Amino acid sequence: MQRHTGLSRRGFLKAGGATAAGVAVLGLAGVAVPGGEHYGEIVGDERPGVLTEKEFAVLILAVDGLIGQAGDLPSTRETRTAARIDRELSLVGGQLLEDMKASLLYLEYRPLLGGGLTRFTKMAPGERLGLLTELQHSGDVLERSIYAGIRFMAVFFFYTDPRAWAHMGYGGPLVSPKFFPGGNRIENLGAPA
Amino acid sequence: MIVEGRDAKGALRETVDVVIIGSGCGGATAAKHLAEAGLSVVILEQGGYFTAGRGDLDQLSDNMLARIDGGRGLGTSVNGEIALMYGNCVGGASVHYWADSWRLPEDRNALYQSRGVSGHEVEVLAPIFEEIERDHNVHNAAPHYRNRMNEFFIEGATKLGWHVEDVPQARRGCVASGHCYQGCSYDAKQSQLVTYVPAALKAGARLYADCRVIAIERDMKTGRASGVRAVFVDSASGQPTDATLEVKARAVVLAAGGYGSPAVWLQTGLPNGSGQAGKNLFTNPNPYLYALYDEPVYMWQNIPAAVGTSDFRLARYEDGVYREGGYLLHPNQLQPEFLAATLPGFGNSHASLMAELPQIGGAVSWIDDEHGGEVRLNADGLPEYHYKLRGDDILKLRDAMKKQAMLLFASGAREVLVPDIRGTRLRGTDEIGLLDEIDVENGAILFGAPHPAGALRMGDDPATSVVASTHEAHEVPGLYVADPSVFPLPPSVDPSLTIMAFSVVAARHIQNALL
Repeated sequence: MQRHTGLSRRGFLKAGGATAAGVAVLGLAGVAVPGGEHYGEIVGDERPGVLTEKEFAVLILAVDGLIGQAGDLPSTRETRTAARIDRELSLVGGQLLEDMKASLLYLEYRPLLGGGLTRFTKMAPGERLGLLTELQHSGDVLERSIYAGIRFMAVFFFYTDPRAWAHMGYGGPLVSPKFFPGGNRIENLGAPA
Repeated sequence: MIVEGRDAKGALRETVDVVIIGSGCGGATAAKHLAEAGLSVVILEQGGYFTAGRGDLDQLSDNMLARIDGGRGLGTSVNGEIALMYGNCVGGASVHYWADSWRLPEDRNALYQSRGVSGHEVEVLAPIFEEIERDHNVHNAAPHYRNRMNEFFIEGATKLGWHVEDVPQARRGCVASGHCYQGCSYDAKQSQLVTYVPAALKAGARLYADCRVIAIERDMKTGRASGVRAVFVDSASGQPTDATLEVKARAVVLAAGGYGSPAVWLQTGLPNGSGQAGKNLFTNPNPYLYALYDEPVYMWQNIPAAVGTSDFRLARYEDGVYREGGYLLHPNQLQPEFLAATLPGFGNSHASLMAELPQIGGAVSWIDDEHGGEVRLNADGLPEYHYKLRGDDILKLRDAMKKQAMLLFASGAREVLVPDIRGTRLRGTDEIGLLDEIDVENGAILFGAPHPAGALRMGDDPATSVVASTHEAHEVPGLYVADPSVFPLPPSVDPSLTIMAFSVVAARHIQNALL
């Protein structure tokens, strides 16, 4: 069966890939629900625009794991990286949004595919890293694409926060910033509710 | 005169000699020449008008992707193998290009002729190139414009016996900020935004920004192009506003770029008797490798590629079997946020690697791809880009990465980092052979694709091409294509000068037809 997809940043699941992921998720839905009361706790005060609370909660924890920690790096909560990705998805829409939604749901229920009895957002932090590593090295192109697509968005939007620049030895622009209504910087986000 | 979307109200109408769709190297050049010849010209640009003078070009990668890049810089082919890099602003892709300025090589010109292109021979283009180089102040950069990666490149290439050359630069008063890809904040890079767009306006052309073409009008009886219809879009969201524009014209020039023009062609339902519209999409995919050095490199500072080597530009075959080459090899430059996103891995190990970013350098190549992809419309009428690396193009890509690794190690790199999903690392020259084995397909590595070409190809046979060597569409009199879509193959070097030179030829034919 050909389910080949590829890493990309817009529509990162090849046509049909989102469907494949969706089918997989749907197949697990009966096992997966109920039990989503914890999503609100993960999301906190953030209010996603185009992702559901569940998808957004998965994204928040995925971003946490993908970025990692270093002494001088801000937290991904401080940089509101997931909220910026949600905003980008709202501006681009289309296939990218569809694929990201499918990917986040796939990630959430992927442990069940492996015979586990938990889901991504219920895993311990170390277990989540293990799952992300599995996807990175998966023999299934679809799983690698899910990893790569979420990873690209997480890393790019995290490291465009000025608080992350010192860690990279980057001094920042040499000219003054100018607010762009169509941009996607933290100042473009509304204040958390 | 420039009218931006926010200033456009109601139903606007224009009647001119020529309407030009797109304001990049192709459109701006045609506009300048036609306006200076005394023709009335209107330019329509889908993207916004962003200038250094207004402080728009603020060097913030996220802001600038949203302002000047098509698809907010996030577009890829359907299979995710290539990133679609193109402009969406007044000045087009030249606003984010590196300012590398090569003439079309003579061997490539001959190849174009063998593919049915006439009227663009070396002797025709030579004086045009001279004028373009003068207008864009094309010159070799002084040594102090070489960043540390450029110096490493020279050291490595010299050790390997490869010839290093200056890469001609279109700059005037460069301040070496290194933010070329974000759009020059100092108007030093000689993009169309500061060269032929203002020259066209000075000669009387009018430009509408944030203006998306939705139809190319044709005479019912003759099929001749007679104008366009367009809607204005909100510069921030890209969503249509209530304002519209209708332009009646004696000639229509399609210059929306290598990704944009074939999409416009298909979306507006132009005839495609040859079946070639949208096909033969070449993208110049670029493989790249990173390297860790023992000293600071600061890859994001100064001119990206002041030097490079053309030693491998021409592919070498033995008994019909590919051996090596088929690409340019240059030092690479990326801003830190793009480096972060393209360096492999995640979590704490990736964060640790980020702390070493100042010591990371890299090299890049542009593959002369031979196997084209295709532009198609999806069920919603939106363009999809189908492109898969295959055949000798994959061999070229692997060879380019191997040469890059050789160069990086020869210049003192202690480790070479492959930007593949698995995070392959080479710890010495004895591991370069791994580059023959790693997965490079299905998005295992995301290759940049900054030079689209070919999807409305030129040739004098209407059965196998879309436009004639006059740049006029075989099946639509009065419609001219003036951008890299007409190239039968990639130009083998940065295409900007060749696009401009071809556009001058197009302008001359339009002039002859209308005056």
